[in-house]
Amino acid sequence: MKIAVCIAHVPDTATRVRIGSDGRSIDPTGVTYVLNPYDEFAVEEAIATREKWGGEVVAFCIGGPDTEPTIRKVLAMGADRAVRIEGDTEDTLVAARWLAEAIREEAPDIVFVGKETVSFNGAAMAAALGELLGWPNASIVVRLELDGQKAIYEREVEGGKEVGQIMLPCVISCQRGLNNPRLPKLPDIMKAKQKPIAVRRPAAVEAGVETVRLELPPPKKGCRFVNSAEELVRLLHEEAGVI
Amino acid sequence: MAQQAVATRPFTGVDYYQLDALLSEEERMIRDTVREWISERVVPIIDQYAQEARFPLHLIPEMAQLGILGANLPEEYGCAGLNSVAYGLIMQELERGDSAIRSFASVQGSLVMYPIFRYGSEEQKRYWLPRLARGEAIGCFGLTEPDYGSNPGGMITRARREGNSWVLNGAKMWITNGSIADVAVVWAKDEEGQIRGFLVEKGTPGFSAPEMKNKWSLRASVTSELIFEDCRIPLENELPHARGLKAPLSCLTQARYGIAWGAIGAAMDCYDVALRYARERIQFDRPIASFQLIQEKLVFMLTEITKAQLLAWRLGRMKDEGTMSHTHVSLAKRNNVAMALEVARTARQILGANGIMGEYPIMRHMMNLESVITYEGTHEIHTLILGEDITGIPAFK
Repeated sequence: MKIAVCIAHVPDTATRVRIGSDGRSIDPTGVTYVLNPYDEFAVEEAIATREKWGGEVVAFCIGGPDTEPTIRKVLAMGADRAVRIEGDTEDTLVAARWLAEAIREEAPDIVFVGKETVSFNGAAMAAALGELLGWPNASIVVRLELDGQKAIYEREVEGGKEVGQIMLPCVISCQRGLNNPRLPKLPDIMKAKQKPIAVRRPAAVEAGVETVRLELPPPKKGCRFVNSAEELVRLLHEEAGVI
Repeated sequence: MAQQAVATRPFTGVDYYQLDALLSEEERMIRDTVREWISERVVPIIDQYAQEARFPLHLIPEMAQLGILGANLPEEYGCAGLNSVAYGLIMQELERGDSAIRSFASVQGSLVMYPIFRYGSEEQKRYWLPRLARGEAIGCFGLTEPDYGSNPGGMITRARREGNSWVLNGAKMWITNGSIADVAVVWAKDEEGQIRGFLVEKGTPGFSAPEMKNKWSLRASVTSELIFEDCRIPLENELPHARGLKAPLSCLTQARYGIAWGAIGAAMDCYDVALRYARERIQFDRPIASFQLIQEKLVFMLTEITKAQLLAWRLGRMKDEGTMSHTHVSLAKRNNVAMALEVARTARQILGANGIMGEYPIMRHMMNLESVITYEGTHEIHTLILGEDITGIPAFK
């Protein structure tokens, strides 16, 4: 079975983000980048699928050479090889076109993606990839059982869960709870260096979406201690105006 | 609630001098992997284990699975084959969790696997190293005796040849992992007074390893005595290539190397906690981080940690280049452990009364480091090793 997994290189959620001088990008100085946390579930599912069914895991990542530590991590976790798509885009549809083009060439049986990226909260990749590839997709999946031709999935829906059947090839977006992502073994970190990362230049696609401005959330106001419930009620009424 | 707060405690490593740029991508990934494992698996539980004076045995298979045990030994024996800097970074991260975790890995890797690798027969290597790397066997190292600590050459433990056996008599003390070990690397003098190394397996008649209880330091580590009373072992359990005191001392050089890195981990944890605390703790209507006396303490900690990191990094590169001597290790072990202890005490002061509570790691690190500054060559003995090296005059004989 050939398994594709799409990964994103994103700022660590613990990092303090500053906006760059252009007002519409993140200043990368001092920012730690990591594998998108939801993609960890996708990578784990891809590797676990290969361990069960045999075959190969190919990771796909859009970005410059600076994304390679993240790609190496995925190779250290167990992906067999990677394709880095040399490009930079904020438009999910552009990213999906680039990924679909690269994935189609590999003709995998299944594609795993994280349910969203924590950088710009993009969450449309599974649907966009499914559409472009002409394959069915299931999103926010928390349980998956493959049987070669099809898969039974369980996904989160408002107030409950939905169990469905999906034919392969397909695109699955992975949610926390699907599995426990493994840490790479230390010897595998060394071996990851030998695994191939192919670099691909994507076709020019015009972006339909552009970031105009980024803003940080307003700073948190200080905490105040009050001495009595009466005082609290008075402040909530008179100062905060919420009651 | 307190446990919850500890469980999710964030951690930022210190890298004020951009030392990450001196590490390879693989070295950084190895460090970050162990750091993540410590955050997820050790930090949430270690206070409880230390309070209850128990070693978290369930972590051994996980450490083995990651490839931590004997990580710098070759892959042909089932080890990870990492370089010395990567090994040092692993020790740093383990000790950020607790000195007990680092001590376990130091003993297993540097004091059990290393002597078997360096001084053992091919058969001993093939039998023991993969088992020890997989954590299926645990090892300990018996050199120190009740009356011979800094002066191990005076050891009383004796090995007598009798037919196809060696017969051991004597006692060892302060032995990490002793009571949980499947194999002990034991150093004893033969009838000519020559020091030799032996592998003594758990359950051998005449061998017992009672645990030493009621420690106020390394509480999450197993510390034991090893007692040999006409303990008979086969001839092939001797390490064939080890002769003289330099053999066990060469093992200690390996372990001390790891400690020089490990101490930085404990210090980084103390600094990180103290910095966060100082920013949040309000006194006189301001965070205490705004007071000059607190800032001086934080700057002192940061400076000392940064200096220690540079020492450890350079030591590691020299070790890989083959230019490191045991005196270089003495300088780094001596400096970095004393540094970490001072940083822990300073952090405790910043946290005030909270600094003594198990909710924070400070006092645990501080008490651990009171052992670390003494074991593997006391601070004083390392001073004298360096003193002899630079003056040519030994002051301890």
